[in-house]
Amino acid sequence: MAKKSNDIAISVKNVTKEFTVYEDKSYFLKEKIGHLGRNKKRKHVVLRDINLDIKRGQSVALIGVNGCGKSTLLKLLNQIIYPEKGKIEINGKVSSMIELGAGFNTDFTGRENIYFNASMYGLGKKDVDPIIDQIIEFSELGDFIETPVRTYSSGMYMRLAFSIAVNVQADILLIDEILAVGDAHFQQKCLEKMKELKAQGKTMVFVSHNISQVKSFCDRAVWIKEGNMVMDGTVDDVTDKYLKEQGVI
Amino acid sequence: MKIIEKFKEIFKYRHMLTTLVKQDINGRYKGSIFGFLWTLLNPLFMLVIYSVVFKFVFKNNIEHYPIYLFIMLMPWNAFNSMLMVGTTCVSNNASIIKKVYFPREVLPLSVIISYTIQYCFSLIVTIVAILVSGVGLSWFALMLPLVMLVQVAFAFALILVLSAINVYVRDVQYMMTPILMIWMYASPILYDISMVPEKWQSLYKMNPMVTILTGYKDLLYNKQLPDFHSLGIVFGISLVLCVIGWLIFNKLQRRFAEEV
Repeated sequence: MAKKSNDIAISVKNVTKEFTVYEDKSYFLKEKIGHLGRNKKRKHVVLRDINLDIKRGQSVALIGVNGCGKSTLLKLLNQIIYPEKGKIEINGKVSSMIELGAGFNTDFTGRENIYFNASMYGLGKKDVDPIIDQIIEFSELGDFIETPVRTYSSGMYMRLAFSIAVNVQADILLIDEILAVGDAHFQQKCLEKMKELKAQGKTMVFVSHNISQVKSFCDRAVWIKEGNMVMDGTVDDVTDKYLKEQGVI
Repeated sequence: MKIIEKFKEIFKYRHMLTTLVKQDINGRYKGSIFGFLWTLLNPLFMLVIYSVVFKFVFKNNIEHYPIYLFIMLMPWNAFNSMLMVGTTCVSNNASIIKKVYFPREVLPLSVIISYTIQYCFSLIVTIVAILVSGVGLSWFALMLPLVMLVQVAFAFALILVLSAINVYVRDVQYMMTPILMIWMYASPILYDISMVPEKWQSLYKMNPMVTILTGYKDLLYNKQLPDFHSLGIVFGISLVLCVIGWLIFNKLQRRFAEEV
């Protein structure tokens, strides 16, 4: 990506996201017609007027209780979903770890899925060949890399997804509560890798409930409460306030 | 222009497109012993069955009927599969749509490419059969890519709309089976266009597949120049439909991840 005159990696302006909540979701025409007139859906505002600028090289944590809208914000940043109001600008190549396994084809082997997954980040076979050994080694899958992904445990699945996401040379990493799955050893390794990427100047947005991980890794934290941004500041200030309100300390 | 930007973006994701096509072609016969050979074996079996059935059981007055049928049925089958698979190409890929960003147009495009390649393989069997049966091949066959291009443009326009609407209203995918069956009988595949009564001819020719299939027939069966005028009109209409289809697709795709 061409270097912009400013050094903003992610810019979020007045973003509001609503979900339509169907009390009884209908996929079929008959049901849809049946539901007309009856008010079976309502709007639920997930994020309200969010403004956020993230500079290149910054590591930002999004914190808040379950259902506050953190993951929705991450999906918006990843352009998987679109806001109803407002604008999001991303400068740079994004790689993401949203929910488990970024779209593996489970009938194919781990190795085949590395090529597939990397192709979704714009990498061709020629780009993957030099880094594939590195990806496999990092995932610690060993011989399992040649077996179909459907035989993997959730930990193996996540290890493969993480190894790909951190090795595709993206400028921006979006990571959603992913480290919870791996064992302590792999979690540690992931954190090391993320620190390494941070040192290389990558921008990161990190959703986590693990406050000590957040503190050890991020510079800045954003607290989201019921769809509103209630606090944005240094990681220590924000996490302290947050934990205090939660009644943990 | 938004469309030019979209082309640029899709070009960036060309590796994803090739991977999807490869996965589709390899994956279709994964776990089978003959594997990819089935792509050739299936049309071959079909040809053998037609040759036997129409030689001994159903007689009719179209010369080299099994070959005629084969020439017409293979592109129809490709069209049929493009529409059937294409309609569900977004809704069946919920797992990647919910997790990764990519230009969603890659999905319908991969279906089109995959079945075009599949048709090219069946063409090998077609050409061998044409030579063996004595119908004979002419240089006009080299113009096949032109007719295929018209068909692909037409199918792509339809898939863009159908796949996007199917995300919201799943009835579309079930409506496709009867629609395609009616459509098949409304096209000159099992019978010749001359069998359609005179007073219905002009209405009958409104069906773009009539023009397209006649193109295949001209090149492979009649060994003559196709009707470029009609093909040109269908191609023009298809391109306009592609733009309209893309506008609809683009509008509807904003909520794909929420709806699939």
